[in-house]
Amino acid sequence: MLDSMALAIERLADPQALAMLLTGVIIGTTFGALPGLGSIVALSVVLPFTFGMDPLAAMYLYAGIMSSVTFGGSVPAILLNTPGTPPNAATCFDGYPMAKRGEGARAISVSATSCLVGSIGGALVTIALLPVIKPIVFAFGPPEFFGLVVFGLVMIAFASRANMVKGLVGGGVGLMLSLVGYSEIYDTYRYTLGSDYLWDGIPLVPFVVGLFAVSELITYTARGGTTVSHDVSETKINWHGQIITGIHDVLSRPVQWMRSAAIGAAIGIIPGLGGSVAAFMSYFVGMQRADDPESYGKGNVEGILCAETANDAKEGGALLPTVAFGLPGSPDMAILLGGFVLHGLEPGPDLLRNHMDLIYALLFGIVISQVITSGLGLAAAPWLARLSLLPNRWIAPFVLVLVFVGTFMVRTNILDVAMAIAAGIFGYLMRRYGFPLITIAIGYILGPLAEKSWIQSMQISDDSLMIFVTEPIALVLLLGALATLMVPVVLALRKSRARGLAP
Amino acid sequence: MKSRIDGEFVFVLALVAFVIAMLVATLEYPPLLRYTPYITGGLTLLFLCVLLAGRVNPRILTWTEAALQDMWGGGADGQKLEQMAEPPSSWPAVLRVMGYAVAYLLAVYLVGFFLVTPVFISLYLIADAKVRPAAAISVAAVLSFLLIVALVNLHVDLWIGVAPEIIPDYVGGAIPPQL
Repeated sequence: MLDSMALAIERLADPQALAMLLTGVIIGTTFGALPGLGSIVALSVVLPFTFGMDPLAAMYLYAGIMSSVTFGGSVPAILLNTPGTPPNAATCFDGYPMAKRGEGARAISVSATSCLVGSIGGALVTIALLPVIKPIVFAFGPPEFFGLVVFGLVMIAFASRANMVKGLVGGGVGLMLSLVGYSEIYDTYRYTLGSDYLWDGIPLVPFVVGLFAVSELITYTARGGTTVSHDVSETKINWHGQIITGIHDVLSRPVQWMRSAAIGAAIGIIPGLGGSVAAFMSYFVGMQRADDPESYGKGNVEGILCAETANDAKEGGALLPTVAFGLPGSPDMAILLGGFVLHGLEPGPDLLRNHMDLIYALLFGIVISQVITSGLGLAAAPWLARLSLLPNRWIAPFVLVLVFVGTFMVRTNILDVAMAIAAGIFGYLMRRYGFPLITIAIGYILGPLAEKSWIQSMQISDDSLMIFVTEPIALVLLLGALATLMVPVVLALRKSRARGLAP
Repeated sequence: MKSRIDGEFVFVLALVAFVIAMLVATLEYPPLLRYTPYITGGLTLLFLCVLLAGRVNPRILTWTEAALQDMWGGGADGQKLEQMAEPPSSWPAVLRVMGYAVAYLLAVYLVGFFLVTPVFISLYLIADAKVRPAAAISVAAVLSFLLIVALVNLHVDLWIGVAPEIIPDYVGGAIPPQL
């Protein structure tokens, strides 16, 4: 193991390796920053070009892309409230309010630093768990999935804070929209209204990009002015000073970033959950554990920290089942798996036995690329943040063009662009009438996972609910979700009873 | 707390109609596929009814909101947060932006990205952002060129529009997608 690590480190010192990492970082950051694109498209585009390359060089290129996409996606999320990739949607909630306060550079600095600690955390978790990964992955069946997703859905109640009734309505509407499309378990098309386009359901990228980016574009363009609020004096903004503050914000919160990295890596390990779940779950756990949860969503640095750390730590976690069993944890890992096969490497025990140096090279490559990405991000943050001073009406047509091209590129279907515009108008109306978009996103992302794991659990157990009791991990997760939901109810009842008894 | 019929009331009614339509459609599906829509739809409908009832009697909404805040709101002061929110923009301004987005979509659908993108950016900058025409056209041309070159190099087949073919492979001649 140590020999393989030493070999991987030695190879990383090669200038060609660093050049590949840098190329990957540039491609990854660019694809991350363009709304609708992301690591799946970036890896797909790059994959054919790596054919014939030295496998190690290809691994460095993949590592550069995988590690930089999330940071790239956080920049438009912070400055334009436009998530570059769906998991960056959780960064919008606090990043954009910070940009409005004239703290865009600080928010980017928090994101860059969080991505770095997340990446290191994810790599450490991967290295530590490589020998024991098998029982962990196989312990998660449909009932355990269901328990985990229910835990996430419970967070809708907490995410609604300022407007509970509308927040819960938003969560319900998001969840119902997620049910549209083909159900492979019953071979049935639901709520498609006879449309071929809806057979695959409402597609994730156009829906999320439309919901956040287009609705925000309508809001700020109609309002005019700049992203930075008019009551903030531009001359008093210390862009460079904000970089140091941002780094300090993250490093002074070790508990938060360690917890977020653990959540991200753990969710990454479980195949099928994906980056959006990691970012949202970490965000809500952070909110629940915070001293001032009401400041979440209004420009709290911890919101960005929790989302971005988990987002990056997830990459390391997702690598585990991919290399250990050839079981990709996410679509981008499936493409990476294609990269392995393209270079004659078959993931599984053989890869772990004979090519550990390649796995370590990929892991260390992810960390080194993240150092490069975060370094470049911190250096560029003061200039990037100045975008928030440009008049909104100058920015609007370019954002709209990026949204159009980005959503079109994913499946090269022009109807996806129409879907993004429809989701944007719907999102604007929800936003205007006080329905929090965050709950719609949670319902939409977690809904299909909840239903699928529920149905699979019922099928396995012949329709017996006892499966959730007899499976210990599922039971613990469901009891945890129940306790999270019920403890505040009991406390509220006690409080109201005490108020009633008081003279 | 308002108790009159306005845009929000109409929007909530539309959501009610959407949820009811989905619940009715659910009747056709196998039993296990009904659980999620029934539970979710039922609860959503309940909260939508609270919102509608709040229009008739504001105390119903206030009481429900307070009870939910007590349980899961963590002490967040909803009214305070509402006051902090920015006032919404006027409808004409909002409809104008929506109009731009829809017009760009229709134009792209008909004639494709290559021709429409530079024209859209320059027209928008001139008409809405009040940028000088020469500057707007230059910026639009340069950025569109860079974007299109990058996408062509990435082997992305950009949409060329369903209009009859005007410039082969660039403007018009696409097959309309199945709706």
